[in-house]
Amino acid sequence: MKQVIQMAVVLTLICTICGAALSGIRSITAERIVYQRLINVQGPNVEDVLKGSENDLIAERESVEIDGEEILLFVGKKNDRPWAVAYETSAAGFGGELTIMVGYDLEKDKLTGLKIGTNSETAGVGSRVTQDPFTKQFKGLDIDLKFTGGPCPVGVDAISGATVSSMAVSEALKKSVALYPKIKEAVL
Amino acid sequence: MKALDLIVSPSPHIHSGAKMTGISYHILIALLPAVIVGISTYGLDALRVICSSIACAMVFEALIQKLFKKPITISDGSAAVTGLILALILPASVPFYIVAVANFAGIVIGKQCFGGLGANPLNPALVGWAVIRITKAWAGYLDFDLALVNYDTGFLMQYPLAVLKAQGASALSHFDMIDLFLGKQTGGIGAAAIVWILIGGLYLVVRGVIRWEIPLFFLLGTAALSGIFWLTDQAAYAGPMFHILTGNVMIGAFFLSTDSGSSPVNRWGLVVYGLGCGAMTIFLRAWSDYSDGVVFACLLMNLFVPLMDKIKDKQKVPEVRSLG
Amino acid sequence: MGLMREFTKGLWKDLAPFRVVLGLCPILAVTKEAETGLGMGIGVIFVLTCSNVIISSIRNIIPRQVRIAGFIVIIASFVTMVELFSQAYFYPIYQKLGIFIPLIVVNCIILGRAEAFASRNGVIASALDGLGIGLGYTMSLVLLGSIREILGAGTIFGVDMMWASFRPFTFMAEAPGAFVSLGLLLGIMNAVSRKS
Repeated sequence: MKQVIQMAVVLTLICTICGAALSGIRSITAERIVYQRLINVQGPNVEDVLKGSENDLIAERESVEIDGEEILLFVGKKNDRPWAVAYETSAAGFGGELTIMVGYDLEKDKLTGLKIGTNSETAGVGSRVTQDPFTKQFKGLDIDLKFTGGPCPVGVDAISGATVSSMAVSEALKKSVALYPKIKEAVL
Repeated sequence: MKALDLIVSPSPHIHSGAKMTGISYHILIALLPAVIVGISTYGLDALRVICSSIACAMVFEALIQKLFKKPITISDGSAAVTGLILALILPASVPFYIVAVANFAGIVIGKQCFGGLGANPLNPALVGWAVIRITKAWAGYLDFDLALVNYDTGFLMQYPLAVLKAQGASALSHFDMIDLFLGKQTGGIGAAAIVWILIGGLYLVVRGVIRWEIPLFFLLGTAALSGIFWLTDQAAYAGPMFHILTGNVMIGAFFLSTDSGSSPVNRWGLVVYGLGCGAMTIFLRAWSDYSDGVVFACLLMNLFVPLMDKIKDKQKVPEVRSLG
Repeated sequence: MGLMREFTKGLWKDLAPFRVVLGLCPILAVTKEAETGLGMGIGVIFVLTCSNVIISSIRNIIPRQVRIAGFIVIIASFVTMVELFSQAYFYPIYQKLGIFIPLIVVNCIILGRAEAFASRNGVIASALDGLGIGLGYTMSLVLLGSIREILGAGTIFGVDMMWASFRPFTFMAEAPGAFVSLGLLLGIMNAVSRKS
């Protein structure tokens, strides 16, 4: 009996100490990790979907609250006037959460581009949705997306063999487009 | 005389009375027509690739045997055969360093690291080819359409299998079967000379250097599976004749898959092996990224040879009798 | 003197990937470039040394029956720390190493040293053992990574090393290249050690 208690106590102690140490380190690094992700993952995607902007997109990011949710906005400016906005949304992909960065032209209400951020799609199959031939198709689409039963909106060819991943992109895009009117209001 | 360490694989064994040297020289003779056709088609470039490949194979074999302190056996001709077969499936314009790397991979990694002649689980020439083929940066040198663009051969300079891969079977109507059979097609230096490869291969079968089961069932497997594909969708898949007369199928059936170290021993093993190589070739041609699948098909089937050697004809296993 | 040997044995006699053939999954997967090999190696040094020290210092408290469970919790904690730190400070390397950082947990070198050495020896000896084995592992990763990077991409740590017209032998950067180069290195190491 004494042995059982000793086992339980020692293991509990080890787990508690490890858990405490980890949560401490996590809270210390959390802010920096968000920042690193901003520079390394979102940064290049923002630069890409808001190509042609003249301001520093990352430094001038702002955060707005829409329907109780905090959303990070990247506003592209030309001649000091905002011309486009980009933000991230996510949906469940084949292997976990898939986030997309979508840019919108504020004047024409069209998509300026779409890039895939963090994802865990199957390498070589679902991961093909992250590649240019697929994502380039979204550029110039009207925000009034039409779906006719296929996994992707009209004008976009889904990747064969990666239907779930293609649909995840569409789902995230639907969420993104739904937010757009309110975000446009907030920016202008 | 120094005692040799002999490694004897489990029975049954076949002995034809021939020595290793004899076998290699028969293969070299059998390939001679294809070599001559290749040189006459592509000129000095073909000669350069063939000579450099054979030289590299023999030099690497000698060096590695010296390094491993084994007796140097390049005079048995097996390294020369590896080098020559490798050269014949390459385009004539391939640079020297690619030939050297392929031979290094084939002879050193594919053959000598496994214990030398007869102990290699894979055909060394195919190992060498596979290594350079999956090197993406060199793909341009091995793509027949790109590599052979500067040659004037008097026939259509389009690699038939690349056309099939890119445009489907409906684009193949301008390939004449007779021309393909006579070797008037783009391809490897010697591999494209279909009729001359066939003549050389038949010579080897007649001389008993290679077993007739492998080439016969290789071609049968290719024809059968491509026939099935063709019958299901004639617009997408090419017919059996086209598949047999293009790419490496002919040289594969007679020379690539018949390497004595990496092919089965028993008759049923040979049948399964040949059918497997042929069928796998068609699967790879239809569904893989590579336009020709012969080499990878042969390599894959090489790996299954130990399993095929377990297929034995029950009656032929000699009984063990006590001598006393 | 004896302590020094605990350190140096990891550099040749018990050199993890080549002499005792442990930890092969990362050595095949993350040695496409020397830089990722180095990053992985530093992670392993950290985890190995820290877990060795902790395990050695609690070796008399922890009951025998649950020692493996305890070891794994400790090792997993340090691996998670490495993951968080690399995410916070070395994000590009974190992106390249990806899943292989969390997989340090199941690297058999680490549990092997915990079980075979740290749970039986003093704290200082265990720390030196972890440092030595980890350093040897890092050197092996960097060596293989350098060979594969210089042939497969023509660079070392991203610096151009080859002549201008060099067409990289990208075979070495692919999975078969990893197996072939690991096999050749193993063979060379065996040949050298047999001679000496």
